[in-house]
Amino acid sequence: MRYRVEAMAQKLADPQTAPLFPIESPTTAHTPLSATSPTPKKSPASTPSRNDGTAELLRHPQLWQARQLKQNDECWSSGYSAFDAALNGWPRSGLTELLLDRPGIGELQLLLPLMRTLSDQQRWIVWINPPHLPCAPALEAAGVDLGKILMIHPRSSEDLLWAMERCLQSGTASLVMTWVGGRALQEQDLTASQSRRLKLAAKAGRSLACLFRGIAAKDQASLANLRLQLVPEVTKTPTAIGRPAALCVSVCKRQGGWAGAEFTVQPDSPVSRLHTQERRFREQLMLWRHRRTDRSQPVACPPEASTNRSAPSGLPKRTITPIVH
Amino acid sequence: MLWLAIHYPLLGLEVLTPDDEAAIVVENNRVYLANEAALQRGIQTGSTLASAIAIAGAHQLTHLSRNPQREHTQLNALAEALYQLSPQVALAAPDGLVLEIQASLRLFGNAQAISQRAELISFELGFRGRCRLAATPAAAIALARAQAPDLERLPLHALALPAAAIERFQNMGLVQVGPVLKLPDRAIARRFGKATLKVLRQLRGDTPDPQRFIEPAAEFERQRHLLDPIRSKQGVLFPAQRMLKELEHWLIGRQLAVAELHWLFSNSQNERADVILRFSTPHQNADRAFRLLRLKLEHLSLPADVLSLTLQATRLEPCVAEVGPLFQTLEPAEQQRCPDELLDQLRTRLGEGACCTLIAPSQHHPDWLSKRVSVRALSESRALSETRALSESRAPGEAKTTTRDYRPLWLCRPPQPISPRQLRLLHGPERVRTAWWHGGVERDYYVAEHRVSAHQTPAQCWAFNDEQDRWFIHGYFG
Repeated sequence: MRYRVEAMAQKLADPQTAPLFPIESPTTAHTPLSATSPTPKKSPASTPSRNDGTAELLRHPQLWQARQLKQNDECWSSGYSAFDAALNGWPRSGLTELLLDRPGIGELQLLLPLMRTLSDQQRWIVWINPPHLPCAPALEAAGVDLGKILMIHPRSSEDLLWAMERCLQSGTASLVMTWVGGRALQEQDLTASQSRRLKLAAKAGRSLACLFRGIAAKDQASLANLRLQLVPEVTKTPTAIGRPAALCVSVCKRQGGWAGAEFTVQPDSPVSRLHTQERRFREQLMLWRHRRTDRSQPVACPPEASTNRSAPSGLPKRTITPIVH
Repeated sequence: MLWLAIHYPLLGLEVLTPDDEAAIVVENNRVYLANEAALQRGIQTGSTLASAIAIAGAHQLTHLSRNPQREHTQLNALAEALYQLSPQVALAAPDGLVLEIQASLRLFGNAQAISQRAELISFELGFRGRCRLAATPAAAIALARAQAPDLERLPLHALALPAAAIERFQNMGLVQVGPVLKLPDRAIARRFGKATLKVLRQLRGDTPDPQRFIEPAAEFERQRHLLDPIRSKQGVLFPAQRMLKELEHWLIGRQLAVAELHWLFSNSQNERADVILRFSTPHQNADRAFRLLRLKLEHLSLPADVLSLTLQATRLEPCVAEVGPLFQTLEPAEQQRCPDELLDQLRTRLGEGACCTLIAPSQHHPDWLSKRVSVRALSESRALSETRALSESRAPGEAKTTTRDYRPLWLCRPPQPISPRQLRLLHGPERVRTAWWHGGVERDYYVAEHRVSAHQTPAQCWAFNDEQDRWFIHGYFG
């Protein structure tokens, strides 16, 4: 509805079709829309308006335009530059739907940096009705605190929706991920009123709900704040070992923004980059410690030179061995 | 020494009925107590039951017979609840309490704050108390009973003097305590006897007035009998909330926290329903326990016509003071909520087995990479991860990250058999062998692309080929 109003306002504001007239926005702190969207231009106030009825209509306090909607300025960085550029990161609260064909195409990789960020909070990261068992060592290696993970396997859809609402509402869960499918929750169990309840609960508890649904749900209307469709990119050449192919993300719906944006994230990048950084840091630390403890060994090279792993020429071999895995 | 006395004028009535309808308590066929609604109708304390009924009408007046036993039990419970204000609490039977608060002044600020708190605690438990402060316990309780501003203007009949003595004082024109206290002791002893003198001297503080201070019970058990049977679950909640409040004040006084509660609901036919509430972290919060009880009652059938409720704290632990974070990272509203309450609620409704968490057992066996275990409370796991971090800080970055980089995020349990035609091998093999006491498996693991048909989206998987040349998918790189 609000998009329709926006479109109407634009049409009226278009200098070619309609005379220019000022559109006052009551909110001063509105964030600009994304670059792809055509923004209605503000006409100079001096231009007289012929269509007084529309101008009055637009000034009506009960009519609001999409661009007045305050965007969710509080976001968590997703850890992927393309994602952050397009969507400003993950919203801190609200209902997000991820539409995917099958589990295992890289959807967890997309959320891993977020989970790592949220591990710092004293709140749960809830997994409801996951299709498979998450691999604890892989999560741990990605920096997710296993002590914060709470997995819930309800038996009926009623219990599942109750548990999800409870988790969101309590305010003590930072992220609630729910998978639609399996015995517990079918697509048809998720009605519009239930989505609305979940959305309100997420808002009340300031937590992010992530609903993983099949791609078939794309055509259904949804109340989610953000809907993303995930499709793995088809590549002929094998990618880096053990990393899924790049993920094409297309925005199906975005509250306070425009749908239709598409971008690609490479799930490989953040984890491996962090790992190399961490490893490099650890190597330096080890070198430094060995240097401190081993007084008898003369320092062969300055610490700056030892950053490069492959060429620690002057160091004794013993100091290198624990570093190379 | 500063003494605070709290007097419950309607204790005898409030232990019997909580509502505000016109009600009287009868003792020896005389009205002993009447509440406000009854007083407004013209009933006076001391009149006979027959005249009270004649005034108010039989159907509009509840009359109850006095139960001194219950009054005493309730007074004890109130004393235990007020134990959090002072370690020296004594009963002033039948309807008052005396607290020595000199030592608590600094903790609570001033005496006014303590008396307000005492009244508030009493009110939460359903009793209206009135406080007075004085230098001696006898003076404090006399002032509280008479609601007099000071000793000067305290009426004589408020003191526990023999009736004959009071009458003689009145004949002498003395009706207030002030002038009486100015009379010489010797004259009073000669004319009124030593008992009267002792009362007056204790009032002034010239004679010691030893009090028997209570010792709070080591166990918490409360029982509440109802006058009318309760037919709905909503009706049970109201007395239950009062009892939980009582528990909360008792816990604060004893510096304890409760980890398990036992509720018992029974009726006159001795049908009973037991409700056990377990908390993942011991706490003192009555509201938290109440919310969990309400959740539990939703899926439980109570016996018809519940007449008595019993609450017992079956597991008590010493209270650990909450340590807040140095920096505020979350909104204040979020910090007030306890993350473990969510866990209790989920466990209560979904069952113990439905909630779990993950651990990574340090096992080489690929089937045991990840394990579901029953979930710990967040505070507990935080302490655990801190100790683990300490123990691991000795050897940073062991062989941990080398292989685990290649482990998938999703694991299939058990591994799914698959036709090798659906797989396109990308990397591998990685030979995994386990010891004979772990089943002696020998597998070649590959990173492969799994695709059932040409139209389906491919997914990268972790597949293996076992000794019998069968193929399985063990996980997906989700």
